[in-house]
Amino acid sequence: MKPASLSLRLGLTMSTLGALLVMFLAVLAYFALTHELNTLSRDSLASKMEQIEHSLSLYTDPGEISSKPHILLDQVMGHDNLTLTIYDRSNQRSPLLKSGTGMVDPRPELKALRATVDQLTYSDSTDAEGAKYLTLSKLIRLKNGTSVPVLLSMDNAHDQALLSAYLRSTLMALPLLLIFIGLSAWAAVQRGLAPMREFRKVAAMVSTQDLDHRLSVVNMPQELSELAQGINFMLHRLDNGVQQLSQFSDDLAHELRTPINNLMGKAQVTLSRERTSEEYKDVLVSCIEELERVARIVRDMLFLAQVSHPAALAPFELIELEDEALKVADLFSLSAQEKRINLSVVGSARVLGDRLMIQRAISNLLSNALRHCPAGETVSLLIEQGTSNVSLLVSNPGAGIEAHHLPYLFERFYRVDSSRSRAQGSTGLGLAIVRSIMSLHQGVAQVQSLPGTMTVFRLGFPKVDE
Amino acid sequence: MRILVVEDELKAAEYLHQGLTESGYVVDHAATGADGLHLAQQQAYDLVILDVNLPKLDGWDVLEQLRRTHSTRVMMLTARGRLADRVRGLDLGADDYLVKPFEFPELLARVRTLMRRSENIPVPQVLKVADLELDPGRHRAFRGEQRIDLTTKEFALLHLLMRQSGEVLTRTQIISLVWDMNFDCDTNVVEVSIRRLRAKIDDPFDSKLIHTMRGVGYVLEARE
Repeated sequence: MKPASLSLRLGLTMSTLGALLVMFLAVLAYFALTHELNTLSRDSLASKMEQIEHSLSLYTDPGEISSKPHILLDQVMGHDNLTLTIYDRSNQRSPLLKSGTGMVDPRPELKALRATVDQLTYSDSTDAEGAKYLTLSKLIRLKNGTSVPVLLSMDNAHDQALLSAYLRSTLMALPLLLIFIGLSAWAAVQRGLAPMREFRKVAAMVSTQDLDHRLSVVNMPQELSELAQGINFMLHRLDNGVQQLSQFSDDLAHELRTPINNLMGKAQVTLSRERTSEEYKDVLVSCIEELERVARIVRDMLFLAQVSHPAALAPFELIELEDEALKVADLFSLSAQEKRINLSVVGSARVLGDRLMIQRAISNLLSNALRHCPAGETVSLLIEQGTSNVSLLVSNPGAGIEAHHLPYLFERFYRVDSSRSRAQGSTGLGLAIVRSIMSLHQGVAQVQSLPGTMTVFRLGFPKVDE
Repeated sequence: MRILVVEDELKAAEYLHQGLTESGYVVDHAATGADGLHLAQQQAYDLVILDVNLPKLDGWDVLEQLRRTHSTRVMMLTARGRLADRVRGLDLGADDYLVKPFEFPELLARVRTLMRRSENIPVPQVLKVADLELDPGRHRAFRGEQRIDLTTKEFALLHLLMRQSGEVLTRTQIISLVWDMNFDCDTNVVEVSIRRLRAKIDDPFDSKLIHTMRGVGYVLEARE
């Protein structure tokens, strides 16, 4: 099932919440109104009862009530909804006085009144036609000491009408209100998400050939503009990555083209006429040399690819850097002797890593250092245990590297002096491999060089917690 | 000794065939996995050299099916150098695993090692080639009557060359076996060491024992 659209979902949610809220308020208002109307009715009954009591206090006995009722009737005159009934205590069948239209059965009230004098009692009742009454009843003492039950009833029809009108209007307004809330929410979301179309447009245009498109963050709501900035940043990095990749394949093709051209040319020239087997042998040997270079480039490339996707690598182990440095130095010691260069290894520290890779990194740096170190000088390997990391420094005196080369030294195929290093069999990948190895070890590869004085390469490893 | 080469790439099969035949082996060739499996099951081979990327039935399947019935030695040959692939190959019962691109002399050396593994030829205590003698136990070398002083690495190198006398050893092999460095290193240590070794065991004498195979490597043998 396709999930409903965000605007629809938000619209529905808002409507539901709106409905709940409106209904809650309506119910609250209904009860408040009921309570308030009830209180008002009671108050007005109570004050009316007071007036009646006052009038009754002028009567000497119950007989006077039926003979001179007009004083009492005046009290309830003009109040259509009031019914005043006064009974004789001894004869409760027919009232001494009755005004108004209320048809309430008075017996429960009369029964309740038997006991006490001066007590106000409220009661609700419903007559045969369904009209609701609120009745206030009280025993009132006359001048001669006899007391008569007085019942004052109020017809609640007005209040009921008011309440039902309120309910009706609320119920009628509710659906309209909810539709309005829902539509507004839907529209607000639609408008708020309108910039998403911009996202879609840009996403549709982006491909590896064309990574130049960016989202415009002007006029975007804050949440979306943050997202847009994030996406722009991602596009920027992708752009860089893709450019590097394509630059890299250019470089790779170029690197491979040179030796392949050499091979082809040499073979073609050789085959163009008859030669002695000695000459053929020479050509084959030089072909092998060239091919070895190609093979080395391919192996280095494979190694780099393997290091950048380190899924299938052996787990790291504790490595004594000094041992590995000594081992690599041992490998290079003969070449160093030949060039009359001293090799020194100083210091010790332990790191977590892959033995073969660390050897390889040291070896790449050492062979560079030996290549550029003048005769009679010293190439030194210095291992330092720092407070937060472990450093392995490979330094050699010599002509050094000019500052503008330094930022690119660890790039693949970057060469300071391309023709010379290629002639020496360098693949141009040695330092790139060093950098990849170090990043695999969560470390860094750095270089510092003072032309004419000293060049120092540094491998920084994270410190091992032992 | 018979070797079956299962390889779909014609050029590679061709030079493997030639190289192995010239080294004295009888070589058969199969171009697909199915043919290879059939041949390996029908005939008795001393060694099967098996490529992984094969049409129809790939090298893993061939190896797996062959291992159910035969214990023929198998050397896997593949461009996949990842650790997981190598482990898989060896787990499936391969006896050796060589990653392309490889150097032919290394392949040859490994073939010889595999062949030797079953024959169990004991390595003699004192190695002797022509009048050159090497006693690893006492760490001494003689050419004729003359004692030769060697450094540790020179001794290890000579030991290796004499142990594999008559076989060509490549620079990579030598670095791996003598210096225990198993990756490409940009150094001329082998050339320098061979030169120094020659100065001690060959230069003062008339018959030379260490020979350079240009473009391939070095071999120690007595030549007429």
